[in-house]
Amino acid sequence: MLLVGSKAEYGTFLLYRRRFENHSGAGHDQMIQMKHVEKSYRGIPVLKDVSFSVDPGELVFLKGSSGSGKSTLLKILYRDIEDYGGEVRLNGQALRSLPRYESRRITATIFQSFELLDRKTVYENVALAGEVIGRSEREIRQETMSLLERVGLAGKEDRFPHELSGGEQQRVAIARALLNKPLVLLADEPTGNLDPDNAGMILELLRQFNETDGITMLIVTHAEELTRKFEARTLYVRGGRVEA
Amino acid sequence: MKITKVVTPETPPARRTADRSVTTSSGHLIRYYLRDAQEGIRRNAGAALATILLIFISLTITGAMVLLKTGVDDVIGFLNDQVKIKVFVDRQADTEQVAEILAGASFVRHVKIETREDALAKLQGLFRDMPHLFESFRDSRFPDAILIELEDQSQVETVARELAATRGITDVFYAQEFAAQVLRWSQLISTYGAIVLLIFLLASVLTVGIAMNLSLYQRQKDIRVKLLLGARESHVRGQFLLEGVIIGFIGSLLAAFAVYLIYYYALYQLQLRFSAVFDFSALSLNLTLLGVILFGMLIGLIGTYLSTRKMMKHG
Repeated sequence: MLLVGSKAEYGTFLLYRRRFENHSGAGHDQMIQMKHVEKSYRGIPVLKDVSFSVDPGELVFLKGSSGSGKSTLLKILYRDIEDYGGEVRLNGQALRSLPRYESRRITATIFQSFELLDRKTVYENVALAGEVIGRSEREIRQETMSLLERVGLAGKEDRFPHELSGGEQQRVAIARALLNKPLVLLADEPTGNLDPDNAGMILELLRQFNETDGITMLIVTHAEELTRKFEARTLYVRGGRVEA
Repeated sequence: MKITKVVTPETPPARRTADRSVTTSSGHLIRYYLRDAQEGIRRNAGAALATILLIFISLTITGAMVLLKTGVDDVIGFLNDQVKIKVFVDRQADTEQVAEILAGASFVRHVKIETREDALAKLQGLFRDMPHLFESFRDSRFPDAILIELEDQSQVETVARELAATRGITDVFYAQEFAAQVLRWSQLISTYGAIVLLIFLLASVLTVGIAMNLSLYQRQKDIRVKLLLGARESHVRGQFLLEGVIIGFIGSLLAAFAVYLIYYYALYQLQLRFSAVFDFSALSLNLTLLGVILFGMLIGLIGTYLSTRKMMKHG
């Protein structure tokens, strides 16, 4: 296992990233692969024998009623839950074999609650993603400004989250998630706190990043109507199982 | 519905082959840590100040005690080096005869008689400004004394014991006896002082821990977000450890300054007056100050380490 951390962290992240992208292990054709995944809370099964896969660069919606296990499934992918049954692979590599911090650099996540830091400005919130992994200030500045422009927040770098609308806050969260160029973006109800107009804008924004940057996306959403116009595969979580 | 258009980069990366170069370095991380630790102390200023104060008090006492111990050791050393014994002669005995016998002993280098008149003259000098006290001594019946200088300093105790059992001699005084008393007191103070110090140091470690727990509680969201963004658990913990070390460093630096002042205004002045007794070397002073600073940083580190253990388990 190649550990990015210690020495390599102080060298280049790219080397690892390329090796990861070119990994030739089993299941290489899929970016995300879940095989017979099970998860219970205090003996109550939430996920039962879940198996599905997502191709590289694919955008997939994940839908289901409240409490159906959508968020649990995402939590497994962004390593908030480690005690589950079955196997999860990321670009052919077993998720459990990767250090947690490493898989989180490859798999970025955005949330319904945005998870922005109130004391930090828009710029600082986005830049934080680069700072915690030790990227140079120059590189962070360049890419933060570029991303803020791409999400339509140019000129609002010095604002604080409370000075922005919900839609704008989610766009900051998207810029932050994409700063370290992840291979996968997981979105846990990214439009849950937004009005339909803003929700539509956020989904459109994600779709465009998926197209232009080739980022694999798994989006948990309730927005049935909004997603209908996207040519994307939809998976349904019902009774702890995932169905197409 | 208004749709925000993604501004496509000038050279759009091809699907799945987008440039994903992300360069990281330790230098950037260290700068970031320092900035974050500084921000953490600022946000948690009250608790940080209380911790700094407690570390300052504990380490000032510790440093002062170390210096004091050096001074006491010097006094004990000086007293132990003395080769003179003073004996008081029984009023019924002939002082000159006793002195003659003692002078003939092989272990004696020199004897000197100190008569009642000599003793009163000394007292008159001592009570120059308090004649009423001197008057109270004038009518006392002082015995004559003999000062004995020995050939070998190491024999003082043995000879003193022999003299105490000799007829015609009522009391025996020698510096080593006083040194032993000083040593007993010094050991007593050391023991109880060490207990008090230990309590202070434990309180310092606990205060650092509490301050850090408060800081951790305030920054739960920050920690979670950083970990979600791919920060290593050890690095996030490292930021808190750095914060603890900085707090310890500030407290101990102030303590080192206070210890230096104690040295300069108390011990150094003693050394100037009694250069034969005290010998504070620059090296021992510097080592004490360095020890105070390192110890303060260690307190900060241990306190933070203990309070962030949970973070490592559940990070």
